[in-house]
Amino acid sequence: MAESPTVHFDHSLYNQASVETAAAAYASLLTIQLDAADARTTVTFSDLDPEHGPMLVDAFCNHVLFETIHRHRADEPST
Amino acid sequence: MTTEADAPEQPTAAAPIELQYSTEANQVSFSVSESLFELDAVYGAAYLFVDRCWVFLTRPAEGEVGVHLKPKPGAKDDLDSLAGEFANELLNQALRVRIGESTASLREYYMARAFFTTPVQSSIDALLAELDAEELEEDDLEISVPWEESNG
Repeated sequence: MAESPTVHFDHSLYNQASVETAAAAYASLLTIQLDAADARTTVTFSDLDPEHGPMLVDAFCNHVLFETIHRHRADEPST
Repeated sequence: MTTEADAPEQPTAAAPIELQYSTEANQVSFSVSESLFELDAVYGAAYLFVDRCWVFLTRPAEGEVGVHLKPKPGAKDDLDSLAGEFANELLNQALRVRIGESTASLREYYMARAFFTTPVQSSIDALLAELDAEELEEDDLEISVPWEESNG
């Protein structure tokens, strides 16, 4: 049975729109299910490729962080 | 009255100051207090590490940010170095944030002055126009008069 890892993105650290953007970007590579709550967005990855799946999940997390930082910097006054 | 028990605990000279981190499953994890390092500093350091390793942030407790670093496949970074370098970068970014905040009003002043004062260019243009006018009026050597007219 294929493993379905779950990752929680806390909204105080990760922008919810960034999770959605990353999910759209990785839609062709991963089967992703988003479950947004008040405090966090839970992402479930299903049908992971045993060889490349874990690395793609890590890359997805990096992508979310990258998007979050970009949006955070775009929102704040220039420094 | 402050008793000895009430007084804040002073660090002893022999107490080592170390970055507390744990390594497991090819991943190094440590916690950063937001009272020491603002989230902006954590983001700044994380941003510089996303091309080197997998970075994931968690919220282990209120006011704490959990940082998890995992080397990318084929990377030669060892976990101890990653933790140490991230901590150094965290300090660097915290300083950048603090300098940014303390010089914000100065930058705003310069921007306002650059955009909202009378442009210097117009006064230069006026001077050049004045010089051109003077040159046209005064032509003692009659350089602008054709040779045929002056000698003909």
